[in-house]
Amino acid sequence: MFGYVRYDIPNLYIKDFMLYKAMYCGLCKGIGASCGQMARVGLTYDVTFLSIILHNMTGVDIRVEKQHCVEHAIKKRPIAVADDLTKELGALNTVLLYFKLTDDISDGGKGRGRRLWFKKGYKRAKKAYPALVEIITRFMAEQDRVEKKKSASPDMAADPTACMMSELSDHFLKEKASESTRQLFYALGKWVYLIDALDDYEKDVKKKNYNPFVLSYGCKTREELFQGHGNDIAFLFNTMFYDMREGLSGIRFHFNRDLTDNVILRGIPLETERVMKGQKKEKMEQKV
Amino acid sequence: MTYSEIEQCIGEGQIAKAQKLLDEFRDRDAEWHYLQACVYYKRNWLGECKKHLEEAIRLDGENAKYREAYEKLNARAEYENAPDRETEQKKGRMGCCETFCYGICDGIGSCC
Repeated sequence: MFGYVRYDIPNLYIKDFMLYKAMYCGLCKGIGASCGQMARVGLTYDVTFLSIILHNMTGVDIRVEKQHCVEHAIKKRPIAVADDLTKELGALNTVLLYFKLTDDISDGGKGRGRRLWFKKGYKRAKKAYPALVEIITRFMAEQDRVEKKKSASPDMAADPTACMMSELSDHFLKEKASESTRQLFYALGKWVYLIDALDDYEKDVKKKNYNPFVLSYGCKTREELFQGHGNDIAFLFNTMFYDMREGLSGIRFHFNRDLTDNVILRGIPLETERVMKGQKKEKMEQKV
Repeated sequence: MTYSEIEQCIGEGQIAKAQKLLDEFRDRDAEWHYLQACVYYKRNWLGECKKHLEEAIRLDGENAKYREAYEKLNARAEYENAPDRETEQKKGRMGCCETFCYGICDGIGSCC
């Protein structure tokens, strides 16, 4: 479920590329501060994006300083200073990863060793941010329940994750939360869940894992799926893009929003296109 | 129990109650599918909403209300790839009633 929220580099300003990298490194430091050094290896693009958009929506300015880090010990790099919001998002990163690994294990997959690696960080997050962890725990339990029921509806299957994102946005935005922010984050959560399900289509058919698209359409291959039901799937994703766009238009941003617009209006549709074409996931470009 | 009770629930935003009432129906005609589509629309489950509207139209192709709702639902999925910000701002915010609910909620009551 991680690694899908990406920027579209040909349309990204250099300033935003630099900002993204500083926020990425800043979140890594934030994870270290709230969950310990071991948890830093779990750093994700998805929570980096959340950090960028939530700083902008809450009006918390970012301070970038040249700092050392474990990975770049010799030369200092511009890194966003880990403020309280970044630290809490660091905890979010660790807890989401912990739950994902727990889910992998319950599906019969590997991951016990990896989960053990994050256990201490998860416990630290739970102690420092009980309200945050309560939201995630509640919706992940609901997600598990829906998956065990083997719901054949992509809408229903994605609802717990989408609602979790919506409630998490309320948690972070507090008085700045609105119908528009909830609309945007619901659509983002739904997209993350469903793009992962669509990307794993053939793997889930083979392994007989739960996948709402497999249960809903019953095709053996992705090609067959798109030949027979491509329009329905395109419809579903287009309604999510619509909600993201609509949500964005009703939100007040405190700073420049080029970077988040690039991710939402370009990166996410491009990633969807990649998955629909059955192309492999590539490493996100980190250099220009 | 009648469809008008369900319409009232939807109009008042009592979505869970409307769903419960819908689940109690055994005979599921075109109007039942239309109302189920309304409930899914309210929950933002638009894939399910579309399926039920298609079923309502299949059962009663002459019904203008179903067709209008279906057209408006499809308009909500019209997405121009990578639109620029200027276009975004010119378009402004298109509320629920301007798109789908005009058709689907006429006669149901205020929905937005």
